[in-house]
Amino acid sequence: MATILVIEDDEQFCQMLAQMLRQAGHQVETAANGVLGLERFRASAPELVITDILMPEKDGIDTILEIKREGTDTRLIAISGGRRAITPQFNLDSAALIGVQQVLAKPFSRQQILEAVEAALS
Amino acid sequence: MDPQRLITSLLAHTHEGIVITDAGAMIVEVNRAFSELTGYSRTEAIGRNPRFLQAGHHSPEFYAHLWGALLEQGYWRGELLNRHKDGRMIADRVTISAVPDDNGVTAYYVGLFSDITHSSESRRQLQQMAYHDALTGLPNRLLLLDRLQSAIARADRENIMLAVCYLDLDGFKPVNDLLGHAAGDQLLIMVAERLRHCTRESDTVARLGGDEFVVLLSSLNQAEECEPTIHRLLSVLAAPYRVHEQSFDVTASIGVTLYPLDGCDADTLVRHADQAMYLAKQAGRNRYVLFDADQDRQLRARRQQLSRIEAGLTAHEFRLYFQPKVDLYRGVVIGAEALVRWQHPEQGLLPPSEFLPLIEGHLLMVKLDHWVFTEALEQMDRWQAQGLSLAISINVSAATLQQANFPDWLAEQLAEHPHIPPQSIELEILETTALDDLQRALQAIEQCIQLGVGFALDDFGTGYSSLTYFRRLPVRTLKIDQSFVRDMLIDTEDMTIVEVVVNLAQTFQRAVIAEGMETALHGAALLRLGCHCAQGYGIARPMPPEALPDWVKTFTRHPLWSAGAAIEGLPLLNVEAEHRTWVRQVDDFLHGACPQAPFVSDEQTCRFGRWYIQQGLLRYGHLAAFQTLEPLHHQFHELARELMEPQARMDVDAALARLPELYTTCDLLIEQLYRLQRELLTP
Repeated sequence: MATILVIEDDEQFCQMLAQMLRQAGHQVETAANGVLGLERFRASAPELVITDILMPEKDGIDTILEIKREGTDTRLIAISGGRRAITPQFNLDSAALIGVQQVLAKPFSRQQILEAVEAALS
Repeated sequence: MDPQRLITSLLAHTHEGIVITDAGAMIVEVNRAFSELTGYSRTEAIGRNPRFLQAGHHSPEFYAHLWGALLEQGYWRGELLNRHKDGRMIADRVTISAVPDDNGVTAYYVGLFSDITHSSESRRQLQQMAYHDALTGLPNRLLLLDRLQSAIARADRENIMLAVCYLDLDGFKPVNDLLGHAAGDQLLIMVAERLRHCTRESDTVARLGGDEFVVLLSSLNQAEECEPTIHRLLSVLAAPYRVHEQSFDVTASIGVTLYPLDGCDADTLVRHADQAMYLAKQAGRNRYVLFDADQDRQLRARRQQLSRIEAGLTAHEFRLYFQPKVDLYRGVVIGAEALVRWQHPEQGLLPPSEFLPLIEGHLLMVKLDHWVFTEALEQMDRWQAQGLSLAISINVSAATLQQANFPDWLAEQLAEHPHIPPQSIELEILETTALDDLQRALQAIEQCIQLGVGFALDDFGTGYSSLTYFRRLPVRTLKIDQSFVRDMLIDTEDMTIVEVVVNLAQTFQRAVIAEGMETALHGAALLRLGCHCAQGYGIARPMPPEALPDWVKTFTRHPLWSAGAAIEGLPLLNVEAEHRTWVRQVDDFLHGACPQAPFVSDEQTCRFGRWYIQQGLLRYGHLAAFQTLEPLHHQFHELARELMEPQARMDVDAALARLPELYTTCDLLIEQLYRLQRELLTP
């Protein structure tokens, strides 16, 4: 079981995701945007970060790059949803390009996220 | 005693003022008493005509009579109202005698003056004169102000209001011009009469001079109470006037201010009423306008701000900041935009939004533009000395561009900086600036282009320019407004606008740059729409000039931007959006949500189809990922066509059953496109 930080600006979605992860036995913290997420990251050094891409203040791309700059071997999963001007694919491709272990388009099932977590941590 | 000395001594010591003129009425001598009486020294008086003492009270006929008596009888005696050097009125009893020479011809005139200012009759007369208008007998400005002061005090005490109405006649001048001043005076007297008749005893009607009158309405309980009186004034004054057997139409424009709503002193109240009168004139005459105290306060505040800005300019409080512009595709710095800031001594560094709106359209804007331009050139010189050559874009306002001599001014500035290639300067003008007065703007722009500088249309997309206009403007760059760029990732319409502007620029062969690129992700999206150049916080914030050389040295391309460069000539995002929109439209149609069958282009004419058979095959035809695209794309359009066919529509259920197939094909196509991109990215 791992320590996980979820960075996501959609509060409802964030809580649901945290719930799923906790039920699977993980220890989960949450943050509403990249700025707050980095603060939490530096404070508690989680093993895995799951971050949304489009967020106010600081987006997922910048957040991922800053986390990587810290030099820890933290694992990363990028998640992104549709209903925007651009598709999740564009966001997730961008995230993959800067080196996250897993990407997942919203909406996803419990099984999909748990598999992604397992794959990212292995 | 020597008679000559006796006379001299007499002149000096007598208490009566003595003035001696030559036959042409030029003063040749005055005594000390004259100087004491009038305030004018001997040297000030000698050489002048005594008429400089006139107070303007006596009519021309009065003086004609005086001269008639002098010429015929050799003397005149009477009372004259003169003006002391300090401005006050003095009453003199005067005897003037003609002094003949040996041949009996008048050689001198001698005037003897004695002061009777303090005798009771003349005091009454003087008072009447000091406080009343000689022509109409109405109170003059002095008495008006006096009464206004008392009225203000009373209004404060009794909690009532008063109205100051400033009247100026419309169409008075033609009467004067056609029939002479006497007729004009007669008309003014008639106006005064009418004003007196339609006001109450407690009100004051005053004449300030010329055709300007003031009516002071005191003791109003409410602001609205003055309205009937003002309407009456307007209609009474507008009735025709008969002067010299002719009928004249004269009306009045009235400005009104109300105390204590306009809580100023007497002088200011009159001035405010005057300002409102001016507005009544502008609004078309024969009407009244109420002074707006709030508006006036705003106006005054604006004037104050303007003078503060001007002082700041003089005191060198303005600074230039520079924001880099980058070619994301090539990963190089292509220039910087000069942006003005105000280093305010109390308020700190102020952005343009704090002061530019205040001076828009004002001459001060031109001054500031000029400063920005010369400062930018000097900064370019300084950078060049450090080995940094950068293209700089400079904002030019409409006011500056429309100055007739702007191109000449520009040429002079460029001549003073021979080491700066004019090609490295780009002038940014707002889309609206160019459109306001296209012909004039065109001329100025063309003249400047002759000098070698280029033009960019700033805030493009916000100015509603028509394509016809746009085509005629010789600008080399379009700057996509930051409002569209900022929200393009979340707002479909903004994304579309960015795309349209990029396509427009490509069609008309102009360069295009996006402003407001806030994150690296925006940059990646811009690249995929075909926009290679950008500026914004996602690259760098505006910085002071000394920071720029280091920034340029350490600038590196963001890893995301290389992704955008992967598939050349193909706006991947657009292709994706286009095909997904079609799927949604077909879905809506089959489900009855949309009555009209959507138009789905065929595989030859859709955006991707055109790219595929042109650039695509040529550049990527050898790649495996590319080769799988064509059948997928063909399948997509084939399927969409089938689902929309009339016979399919007869059997909606069968069509609906095949809908998921369309979704899957679309997903596969897009996925394959992204795969191609990834293949190109991995070395």
